[in-house]
Amino acid sequence: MSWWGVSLDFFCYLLIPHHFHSNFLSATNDNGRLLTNTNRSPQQITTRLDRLIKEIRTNVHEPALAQIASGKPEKALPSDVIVVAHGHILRAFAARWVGRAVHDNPSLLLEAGGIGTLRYVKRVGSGEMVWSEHVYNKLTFCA
Amino acid sequence: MPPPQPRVFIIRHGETEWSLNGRHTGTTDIPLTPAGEKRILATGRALVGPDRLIVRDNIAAVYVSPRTRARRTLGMLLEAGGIGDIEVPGFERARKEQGKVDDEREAKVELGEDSREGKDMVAKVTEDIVEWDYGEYEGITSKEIKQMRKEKGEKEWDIWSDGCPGGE
Repeated sequence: MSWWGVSLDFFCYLLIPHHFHSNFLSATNDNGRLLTNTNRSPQQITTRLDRLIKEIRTNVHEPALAQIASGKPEKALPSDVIVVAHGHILRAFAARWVGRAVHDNPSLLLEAGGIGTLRYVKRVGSGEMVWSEHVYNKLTFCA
Repeated sequence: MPPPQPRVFIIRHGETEWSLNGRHTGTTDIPLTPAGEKRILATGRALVGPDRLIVRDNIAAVYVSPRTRARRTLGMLLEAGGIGDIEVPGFERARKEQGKVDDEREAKVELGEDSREGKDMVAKVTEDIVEWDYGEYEGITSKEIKQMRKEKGEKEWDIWSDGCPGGE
């Protein structure tokens, strides 16, 4: 990774405290804490979102898809999951759902009170299920 | 009719004062605006219910951010759609404090009966889906952040790749 490709904040955390301000550093923090700080950032977002997505797929969606694949649709399991949260984190959630990196800037929007749907589609020519997303961005109604 | 293919409904909480004027709201716990609540109820009536997008019998799990604006959005959507058997932790109490809980229910609470009575599912409150921790940028707008970074000689900001100092 190029140093010029990382943000100035990372730059300060990684270089300045370690090499030039170690006294100041020890007064406020230890190296472990600093390393934790550098790991926060979009990577931490990815970690916690991937954990939740895995939980949803393991506990709900994979058993439901297996049931559908077994050819007994009448025994299909309830499989809708609701996630209520916030603007930025849900855009990142949708990005991780389709396997995109958070740092790629998910080019989708969800306005306040908006509802989006993430689901699975069959890849053409195979039975394999892949993740998909569709956002009902304008589906907020005024009373 | 068999349930549809597995889905996740991602729902953004309703309007707040800060979402209106573009201030980044991460950890700060601010309420929905009256207009935001009105629109959530309308959305719930339109999209939640037996013949709507979100149908009770198809729901397998519910996750919600710990922030009040998210819990309230969920509680109001379910209520507007006539779904009464999914508990949203913290939502009933908030309604009671605002004097909106009906007398019968209040009486039950006073008698010490389990307020979860009749609830078949509990929404899971999880930190995994809290808003991006904006750190030093909490409560300020993108325009202000841009100006701050310019004054400090920092490069143009992209939250997706740069994150937030002191946050995520």
